[in-house]
Amino acid sequence: MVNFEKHVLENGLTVVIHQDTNTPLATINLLYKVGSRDESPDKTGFAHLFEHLMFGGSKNAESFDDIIQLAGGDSNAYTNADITNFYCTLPAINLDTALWLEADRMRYLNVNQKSLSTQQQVVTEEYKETCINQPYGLVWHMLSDLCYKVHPYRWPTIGKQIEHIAEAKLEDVQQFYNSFYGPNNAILSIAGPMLPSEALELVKLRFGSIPARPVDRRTRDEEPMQTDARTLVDEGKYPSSVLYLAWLMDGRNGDDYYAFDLLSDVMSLGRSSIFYQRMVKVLKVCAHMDAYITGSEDKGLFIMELRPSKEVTMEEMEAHLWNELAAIQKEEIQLSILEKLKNKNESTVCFSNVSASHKATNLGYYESLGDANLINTEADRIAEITAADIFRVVNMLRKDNVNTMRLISNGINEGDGALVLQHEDEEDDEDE
Amino acid sequence: MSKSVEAPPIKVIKELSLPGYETEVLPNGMPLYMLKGGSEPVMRMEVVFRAGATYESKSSVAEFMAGLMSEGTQTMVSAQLAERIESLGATLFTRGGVDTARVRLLTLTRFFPELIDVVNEVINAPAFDPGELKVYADNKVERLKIDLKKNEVLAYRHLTESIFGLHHPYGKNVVPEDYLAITPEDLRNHHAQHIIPQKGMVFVSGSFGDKETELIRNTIGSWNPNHINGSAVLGSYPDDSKTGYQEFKGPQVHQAAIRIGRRLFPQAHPDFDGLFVLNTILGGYFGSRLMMEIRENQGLTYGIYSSVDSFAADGCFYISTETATDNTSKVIEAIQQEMRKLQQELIPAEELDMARNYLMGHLMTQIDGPFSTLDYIKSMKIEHLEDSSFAGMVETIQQITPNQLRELAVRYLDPADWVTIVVK
Repeated sequence: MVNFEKHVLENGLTVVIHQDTNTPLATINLLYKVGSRDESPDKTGFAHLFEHLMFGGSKNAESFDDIIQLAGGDSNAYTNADITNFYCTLPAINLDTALWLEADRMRYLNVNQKSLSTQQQVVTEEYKETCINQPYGLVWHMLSDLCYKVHPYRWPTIGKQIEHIAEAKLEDVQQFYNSFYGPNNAILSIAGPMLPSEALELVKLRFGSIPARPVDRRTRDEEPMQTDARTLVDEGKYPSSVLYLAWLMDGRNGDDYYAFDLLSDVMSLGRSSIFYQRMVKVLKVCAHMDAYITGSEDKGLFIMELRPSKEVTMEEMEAHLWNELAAIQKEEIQLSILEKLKNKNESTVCFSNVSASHKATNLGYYESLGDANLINTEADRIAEITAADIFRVVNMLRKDNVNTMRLISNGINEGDGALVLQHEDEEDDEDE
Repeated sequence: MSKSVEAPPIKVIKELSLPGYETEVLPNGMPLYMLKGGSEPVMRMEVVFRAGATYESKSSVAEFMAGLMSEGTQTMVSAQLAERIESLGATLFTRGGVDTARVRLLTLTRFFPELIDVVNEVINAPAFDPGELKVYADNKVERLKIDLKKNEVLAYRHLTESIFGLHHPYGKNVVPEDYLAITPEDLRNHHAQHIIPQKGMVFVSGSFGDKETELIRNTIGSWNPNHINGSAVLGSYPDDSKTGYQEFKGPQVHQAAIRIGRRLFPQAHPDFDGLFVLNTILGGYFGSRLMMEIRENQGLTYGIYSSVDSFAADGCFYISTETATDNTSKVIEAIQQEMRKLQQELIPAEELDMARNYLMGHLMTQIDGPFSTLDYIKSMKIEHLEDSSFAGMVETIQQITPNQLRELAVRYLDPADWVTIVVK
């Protein structure tokens, strides 16, 4: 059980505080309710680029990182389709330093062209490193574009095109900051050994006087339920062929969300899971298989990812897959499978709650979904899922509403790894 | 200035000590290290053997032996074994590295009594079934083929080969044919020679008590296999580290992977702690010189890091980054310039203070809670370090002077002693 206090300051900042006396460290997590789903289709990748700019210093703190490091801390951030999340862990005696820095960049971020230009270059290199220069780096670009037709989930958080990053203007940056980085669009969660009342006093001192700012959010079109089957085949220099099957499913607050979540575990969590056993171990048609959900707030995806075994064709593997799926669509799964996953869930939650920093991050995230107490109740909600629920959702995975993406290896080997240049340094080696 | 925007004073952590832990010798001679605590009803047990690649007689046998230990025992096929563990929500990993092979169990404490016998069987009676070996090998080959399409993987492989030599256990790299040449007999031999109490250590952390300890004593603590003598020591290898520049044609063309490195020594070496601080300043954290200059100032990369890696019997120091292909030489020059600057100029006091404080905070995270702390102690035991080495590290972080750091830079950061690998 994770105990916490929740407060909302007058300026709209939500504050969640958890006391953990087992650690001398404090974690502060500041979640802004903005992600790539809030971007305009011709300016994608902007939320993530902006996350980088948040480290460019603010009016009273020239460098965010220098001061955090001087205070013995480490900080980082991530952006996804729904949120942008900043976190920092440092000795609890310096909690106020972290709060002061976060408050200063919420109120007075230093927005300037030098910082923008440098981070545009950095993010361009990030795009190359994680997307273009990886054998499967553009999978998410292709799959989201296939599965979504109107919702902004149709582009990935890093951006649809590398050019969008380069085209970002300083005025866009200022406007984005004004629209989304006010206290009323943020959740501050804290975990550490301090008394919650003392932590709250510090939060009020640092954040209390920051004025609320009007949130200017684009309206998002809801993705309609998919009623057609779509296919994308891409032949290229993939090291080996891979099949993705994806179905549109409920978002985090939808009725069937947890049933789909559990279904993905039934299929592929652990080596005793039924699909893994059948496809990889018994039929031996897959070298690798996984089923997972994207877990987004708006309608997400249930994805199966499979790589055929050596000497098995994509067609053969696909045929087996549909047979196996048909088998679990005929009758409810055994109760022992649900029992197993209930134990697994309990264990996962306990191990996650070992760390105060995980608790701070989880409290912030659950609060963004509407209820920080999900940190304590989510496992129960999953435990309530019945075999009948699983049976109902597995029957929503059909051939007439599936997105099929086949990546076919063309067997072409570019870059054979040959040595092309070698020389000794010209300088003389000095004797040590 | 209003009170709300005024910077608070920063408080500095000066002292830190390694948390206490319990030790006992099990009936069969294996040491058992224990750290109890934590608010959650979960525990972790890890059994570590000095049975890694260092001790293998054929490429990748140690890694495969460890991997196959959880693919079935003499009384349970792979699927039954997985079911026994996963039905209780537990997780069992078996992994082989360069120095060790490890069996790790994570579980809700209440299920430990049901699982200890399973773990015991995984350790002392694995099946090494030929069918499972084939599936395992085929899948490893597939994954390796994917890795070999990444410039950064190729660059790291060339780096270890250049630093340690093609045949050294820390230098050699696997090719797909190695995986396919492994037989069940190889696995059984490696297991018989190296998975023995004389080469093992047990680490247990989390919520547990006398009941669980007693179960460990009566199972893996009382196991006494027939001891088969084998090549139990690291052979001797000439120091044939390469320097200079090597460029390879890589599978990806948009970015070059750059690795620049040199051989070092195990962590017990007297210069290690000082180099750990020097590494932090060069490229060991976000505030490092490489990150600030090459990413934050010039925008040439998404990330650039330096690391000192230590193994049980050796170590290395290397810098890694990815950059646009056209900027390769520019980045290499900038890296070398930062290395030379540390050889020539003293590190300013404010910069050194920042690194000291950061490292103290970092060490605090390493020993935060029973799981992290016992992990830290495990690394110390694997690398033959005394407990006092922790105090030594803290003292070096607190006391090392700009002059001493410059001396270390002169000795270890001469670009002429380093090898540069580029894959693009």
